[in-house]
Amino acid sequence: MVKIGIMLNAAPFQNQSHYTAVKITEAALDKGHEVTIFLYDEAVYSPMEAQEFPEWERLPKDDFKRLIEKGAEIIACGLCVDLRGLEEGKGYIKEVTVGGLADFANVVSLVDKIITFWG
Amino acid sequence: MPAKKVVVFFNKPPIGSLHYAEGFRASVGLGAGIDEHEVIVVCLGEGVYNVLKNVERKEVFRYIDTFLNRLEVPGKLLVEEESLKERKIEADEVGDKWIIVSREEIARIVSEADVTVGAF
Repeated sequence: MVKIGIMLNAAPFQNQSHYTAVKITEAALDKGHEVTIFLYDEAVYSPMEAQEFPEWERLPKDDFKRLIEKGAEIIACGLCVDLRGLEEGKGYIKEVTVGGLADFANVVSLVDKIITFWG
Repeated sequence: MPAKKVVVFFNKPPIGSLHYAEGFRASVGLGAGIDEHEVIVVCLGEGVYNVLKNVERKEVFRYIDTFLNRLEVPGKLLVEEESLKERKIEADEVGDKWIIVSREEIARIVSEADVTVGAF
C-alpha cells in the first residue's frame, strides 16, 4: 500500500483533468492505496452540492462522493475558496474540508507520491 | 513530520494565466508551517519568460521575498540554461534572484528530490 497525494488544479467542466484525476484516484483506492486530494485554484468548484445538469448521469460532486465513500480524503484550499466567494465551502458536499496550503505541505510530508493535474 | 526536498516546476509563461502567481503561492506554502520542506522552483520551457528582469511581476513580489528570505529553509530559484538558449534569452536578461543551471544539473536535482510538483 502506498500513500498518494493529488493536487487537482483544473476547473471541473473545461477539460478531462477532473475525470482523469478521479479515475486514477478510484483505481488507486480499489487497489488498497490511500489517496488525499488537494483542490487548488479552479478545482475548488468541483465539490459543490448544488451542481445540477439533467442530461448528465454523473457530476463532479458525485465523483467526489464516491471517492470519499471509498476512503479518499479531499481538502480544498481556503484562500482559493474565499477568492471565488464560495463562503468557506458552505455549499460543499459533506466531508470535503476547507484547509490551506499548510495542509498541502502536510500531505507532501505524509505521502509517497504526488501527482498534479492541471487544466 | 519529515521535511522533504520538493521541486516545483514552472513551464507556463507569466502572461495569460494565474499559474505563475498561484505556483509561487503554493511554493511558499510548501516551505512554510511546521513541515518546513526544502523547496526549489525550476523554470523551464515557456516558464523561462518568468525570470526576465523586466517582466511585470508585482503580484508575486511578496511571495518571492518570503520564499527567498523568510522561510526556515530558504527556497532556491533556478532556471534551465537550455530553455533560455532555445529562446535566445541572454544571461544578462535574467533577474538577479535566479540561478541559471544546466538541464543535466536539473536532472540531478530532480533525482535527489523526494517530491516534484507542477507544472505551474
